[in-house]
Amino acid sequence: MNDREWQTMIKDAVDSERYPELDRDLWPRMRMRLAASRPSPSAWDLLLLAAIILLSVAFPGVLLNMLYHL
Amino acid sequence: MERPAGTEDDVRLRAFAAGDEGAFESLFREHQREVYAWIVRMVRDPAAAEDLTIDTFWRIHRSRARFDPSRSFGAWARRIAVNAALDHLKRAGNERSRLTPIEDAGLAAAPDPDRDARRSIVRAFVRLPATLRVTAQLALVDERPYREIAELLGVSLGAVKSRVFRATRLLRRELAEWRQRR
Repeated sequence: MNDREWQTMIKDAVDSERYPELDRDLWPRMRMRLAASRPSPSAWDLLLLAAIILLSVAFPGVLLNMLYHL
Repeated sequence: MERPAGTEDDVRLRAFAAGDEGAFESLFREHQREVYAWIVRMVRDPAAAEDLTIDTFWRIHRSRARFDPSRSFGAWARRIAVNAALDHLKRAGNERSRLTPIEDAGLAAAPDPDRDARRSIVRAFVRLPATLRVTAQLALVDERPYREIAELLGVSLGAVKSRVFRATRLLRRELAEWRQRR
């Protein structure tokens, strides 16, 4: 058997198996994967936000002063 | 191949490269079946192929800023899909693939006196090392040009020829051993 015949035999054997086409939309799974990968705010970010809120409640004038100078 | 600027597809690809989620969803919906079909032929496992289709588009999404919108999205997606399938087969390397029920059904349904020989070839094929198997799939089964395979896998033309030669030699040896055992 020469190389060409041999290759044809491999192709026929391997190609004889047929797989069904994708019969459903994978977008919902893709969307979940994208959502899971979005970075969530770190503990430091949340702590900083809490500190700013506390500061603005305790000393509203300080924040206004800072904003004025920005 | 360069794409004419200003067409609807060009606008969509530019939006995708710029990070537009709507453009990505539209490309996903258009290409998911094609990408799945490429992958399932290589990994021969529908469930794994679904996961790898998601993984391929995840890689596409992550690399979108590097995509050149004047190029073919399909060719780029295929390169990423082939590499995702190859990574999967490498990971599963030690866990030898086996014939799935679908494969068995397909082979059993064919009233062919050479059925056992074909089954033996398929078994030997799925036991090839991942790089040889993917190269052999693209070259011998899908009959893609060697140059295209080299581009898809990011290797030289010589490496593709060498892998096809080694895969063919391994398959011949397996079949010869199988014939001796009969």
